[in-house]
Amino acid sequence: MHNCKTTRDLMTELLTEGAATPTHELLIELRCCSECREEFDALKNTLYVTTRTIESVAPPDEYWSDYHASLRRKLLASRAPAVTPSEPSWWARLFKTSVPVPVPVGLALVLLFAGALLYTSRASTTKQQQEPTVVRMPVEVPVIQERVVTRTVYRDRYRTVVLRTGSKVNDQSTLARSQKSDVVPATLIGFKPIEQIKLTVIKGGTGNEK
Amino acid sequence: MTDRETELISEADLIRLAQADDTDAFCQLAERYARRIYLLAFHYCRNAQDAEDLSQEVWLKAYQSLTGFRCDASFYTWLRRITINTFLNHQRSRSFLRQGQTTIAQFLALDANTTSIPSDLASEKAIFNKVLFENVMNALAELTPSQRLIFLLRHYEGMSYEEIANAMNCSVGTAKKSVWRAIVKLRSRLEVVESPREETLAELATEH
Repeated sequence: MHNCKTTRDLMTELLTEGAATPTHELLIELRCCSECREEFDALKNTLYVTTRTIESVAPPDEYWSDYHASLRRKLLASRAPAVTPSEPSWWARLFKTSVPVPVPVGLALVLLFAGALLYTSRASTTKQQQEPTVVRMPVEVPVIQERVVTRTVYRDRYRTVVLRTGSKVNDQSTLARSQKSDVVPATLIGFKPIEQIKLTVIKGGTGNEK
Repeated sequence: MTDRETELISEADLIRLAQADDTDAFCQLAERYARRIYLLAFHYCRNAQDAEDLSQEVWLKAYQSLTGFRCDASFYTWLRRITINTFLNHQRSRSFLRQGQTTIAQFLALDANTTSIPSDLASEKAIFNKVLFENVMNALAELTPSQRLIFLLRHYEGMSYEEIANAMNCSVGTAKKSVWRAIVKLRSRLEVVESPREETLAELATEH
């Protein structure tokens, strides 16, 4: 069944693709419909005439000699170095003078300059900070506290007597024995001397004691 | 160097010489392709003087970048790429000096003695051809410069849609649409004229 719209789509595809001859499928459709055939011929002719017209706009041969002469001049001008009108003054040359510097050297110079700038800015900041300022604030200082323990040892007169006589004394402390109301005779049964004893002797007490 | 010798020099030799800064060799290359580049430029900007400037700018750019040309593609393919880029740059900057278009009448009047357009307009056939020519040119004028360029690249330069899309920085669909729009416009313009007979078209083609 012929469909003019489908056929025109086929034509569109064919002509935009630039094919010169219709496909087999399109040929079958074109044979069925004279209108489609006319349309196809018209489109083909349009493209043909257009292409010819595009080419016909080309200028005549006489034009091209001038064209190429002009182009040659432009090419030579683009090759030739620019001519300076007059000798520039020394200060103008100073501003225009450039020195070729290797990239690493240039980079090192830039880094050096940046470092110097940074150093200068930091130095000025430090100087500002050195000005004296009074800051009052509570500070907690740890102090080592020395504790003095005083131990009072009472000398037993009786014990001294016993020790002198070579008798043994009880291991009960003099203090404990003094606290007792009744005086127990000294004995050294079960006495074990302690390894180290520190005695602080307080002189004085009674008037005739040294 | 005689003309005969010039003809004998192959394109590859000319390119090699031109790359070695031989301006004469480059001018010979330009002579081979100047007409095609000019036609593209003329239909793109539709002004004879702008077309001359634009096409010469293409040649200058090609001359300056010739050292970068590797023989991977043909010289004309490379040149066409430069041409398209130059055109697109002009379109972006809109730097055409002349805003007006060279009209058909001006074109015919200026070149009546030299172009292949018949100067004797008395005959019916000549009038018909002139009208046909005007209609085609006017139909092309109705397109945007990009659409016109895409149409020219497809139907005059024979580039594929992929190549066009790549060169014009657009999609293949856009390129196809531009071509079809141009065909439809041309078809409607030429419909106004009596449907040309095949033999008339063939004569027109021969004349032009």
